[in-house]
Amino acid sequence: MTITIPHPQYLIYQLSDNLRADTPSPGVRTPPATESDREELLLSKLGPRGWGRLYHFRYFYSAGWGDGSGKPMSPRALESFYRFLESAQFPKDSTPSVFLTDEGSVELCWEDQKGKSVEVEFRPTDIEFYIESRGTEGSVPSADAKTLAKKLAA
Amino acid sequence: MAIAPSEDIVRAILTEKWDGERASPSLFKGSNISVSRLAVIPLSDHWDIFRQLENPPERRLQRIGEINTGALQKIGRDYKDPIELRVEPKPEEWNKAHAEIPEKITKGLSRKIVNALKLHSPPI
Repeated sequence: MTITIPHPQYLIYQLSDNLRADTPSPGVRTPPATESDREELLLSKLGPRGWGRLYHFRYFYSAGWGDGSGKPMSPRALESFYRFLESAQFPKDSTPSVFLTDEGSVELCWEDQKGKSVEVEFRPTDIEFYIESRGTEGSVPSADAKTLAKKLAA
Repeated sequence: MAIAPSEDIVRAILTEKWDGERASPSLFKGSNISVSRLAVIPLSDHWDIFRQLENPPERRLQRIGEINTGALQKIGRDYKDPIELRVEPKPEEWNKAHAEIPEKITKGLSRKIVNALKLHSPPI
């Protein structure tokens, strides 16, 4: 949800020109997403199954799961996962699957419009991807989550 | 010493790697990936062995993925960055048929292997 703060009609204090360039733009500010916003996002993009699995991984896979070396879901990986989802567009007939890796990363995979696999793994500091139709795999910094989502949707 | 290409191997697929429709493409990603040899223990007995990996109620054995070792090696050789995959026996107390693939497998290669798996559902 985006809240628009009314823009003041005039400014009481004026910044000098050399400082003005670095000031944040007044007007629109985006508040941090609430838990309910994120639940809605998950349901709309991943459906009930994806939403349920993410919940399951967050609350039932604690440190040492599996053979004792499994890591819990990384909060930073989860943040980039949400940012990616905000801009992601999936084909209508392909609901993405959600998985948890042993390293605590979140993995998302789906088929593109030609039925070829697209896979994205959200790790604490970067995002790894594999695009079968192009035969490419690589990684981008977590900060580029939205950009990657837009590229994959194109 | 690596096992023969004629041998079939299996890998456990638990809840976090199976969502009811798809297996995780990263099922084989990484190094020293654990598998098990059907030449040592038959598939029917692997269900009980792999159930030792479960953490009920949240983590359950969902499927067993099977592949022939020779087919696995061919996938490695045919990949865009060819790699000679081996399967080495590593018997353990909980599983005498335990083996490992020592080579580092990337996400893309893992996907190719997952696509080639024969998936077995739990016996009713």
